[in-house]
Amino acid sequence: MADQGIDRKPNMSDLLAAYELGLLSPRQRAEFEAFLLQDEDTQEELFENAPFVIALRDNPVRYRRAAEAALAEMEPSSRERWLAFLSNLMTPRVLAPVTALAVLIILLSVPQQTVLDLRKLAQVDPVPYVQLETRSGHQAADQLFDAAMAQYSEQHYEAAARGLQDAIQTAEAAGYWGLLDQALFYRGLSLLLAEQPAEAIAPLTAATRSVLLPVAERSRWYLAQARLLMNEPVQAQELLRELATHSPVYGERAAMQLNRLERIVPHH
Amino acid sequence: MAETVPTDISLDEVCAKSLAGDDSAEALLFTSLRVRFTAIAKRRVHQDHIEDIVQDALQTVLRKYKERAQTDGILVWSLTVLRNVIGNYYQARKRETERMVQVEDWQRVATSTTTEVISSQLETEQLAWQLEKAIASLATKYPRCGKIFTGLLASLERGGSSREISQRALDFVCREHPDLTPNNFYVTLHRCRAHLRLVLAEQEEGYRHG
Repeated sequence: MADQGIDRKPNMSDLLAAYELGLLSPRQRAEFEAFLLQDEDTQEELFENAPFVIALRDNPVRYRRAAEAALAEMEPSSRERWLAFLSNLMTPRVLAPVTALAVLIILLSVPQQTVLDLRKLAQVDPVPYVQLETRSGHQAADQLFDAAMAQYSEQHYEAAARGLQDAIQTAEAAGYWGLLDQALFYRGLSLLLAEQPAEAIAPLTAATRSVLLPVAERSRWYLAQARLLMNEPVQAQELLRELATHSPVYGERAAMQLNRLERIVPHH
Repeated sequence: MAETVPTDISLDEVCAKSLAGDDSAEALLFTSLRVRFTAIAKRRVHQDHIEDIVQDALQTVLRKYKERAQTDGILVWSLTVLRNVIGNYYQARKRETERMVQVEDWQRVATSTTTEVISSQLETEQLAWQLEKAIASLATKYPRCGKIFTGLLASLERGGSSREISQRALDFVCREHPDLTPNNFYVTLHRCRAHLRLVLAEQEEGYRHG
């Protein structure tokens, strides 16, 4: 990190990131915007990066977690730290009692740590939903679906989950309902977002059988997250492995999560 | 005809006045956006369509800017509107060639509409995932940048004024680099941003080549 200590006035173009992220004072912002009018390249850069800036500012939690997880991966694991600690104590006089104590501590700490780490691995972010007028063969169910999704958009996830259940039950009598798979998926996701992963399993599992590939893949991904939250690594691994192999959208994300998971829980 | 735009007051301040009901501030805001939109559109669309594109984008901004949750960042947000309008322009041209597709029955219409909506949502999700992956990769390649982003994002999460957000992020970074000044922090952040853009470009290249 160069230039520490001396507070040099930066070039205007160096303030781009601070401007994008809303860190500049009103006066600095005005100066920077005046500069943009003169410098089309910087304005172009601002234009090109705008969707990413909006994404960062809309959901900083998600991206902070990504950075933290990557940084944490670079640090030695607790097991590696223990081994390093033990190797420093490798003198015959202290070896036996210290090892016994360390083994005891590890044995006592491992199950609790696994639960904690698996929960930390789970990524449960709301999927954006665009409210549209929907006509899918069952008017009453459609109306309930729209009302429930309005609750979802307002982040009232428990109410959304209940509303979607009503929509599903209403449509059951009709036989075919074009929105059934979506309703099942969003009900599962709403339950996950309402911190009820156990209840999310059934609707998400049903939605994984959707013929609409995007719905099926999304459902697999969130089902894997539910399994992680429930400390069921084997089921999560199975789903993530399938996504990592076959999904063009979730493939890389699943592979990365699988890799992290297998660092904590041995491969099955 | 060249239009003059204000340079002694930020667009966020103009926007705040406009939101408070000041009509002259609203006129000033849209004059300023028009100048910037035109410069950007000129590089991307045919000369004959620039005016329409800019007008369309400004109308969307006018319709939606009062509903924004954030009180700052009006220019960046407006630029995303312009991006969408330009994107739609290219999509519309593409669709012109696909008009001959026949729809067989209502069920097919419903399914195709559903799929289109999901696809647009997937695009947003894809962008978010792309960014998430790039930030993870940035943190691995440049741990200092990873830490700076961690502090900054944690500060954004807590919210507050630009000064508060900036100061908290700086305090976080100063735990490891106590001599860092605000200006140097901005420069360092800018370098990290450049690294992140590079990572995103590499990812994009990777997708293109399968």
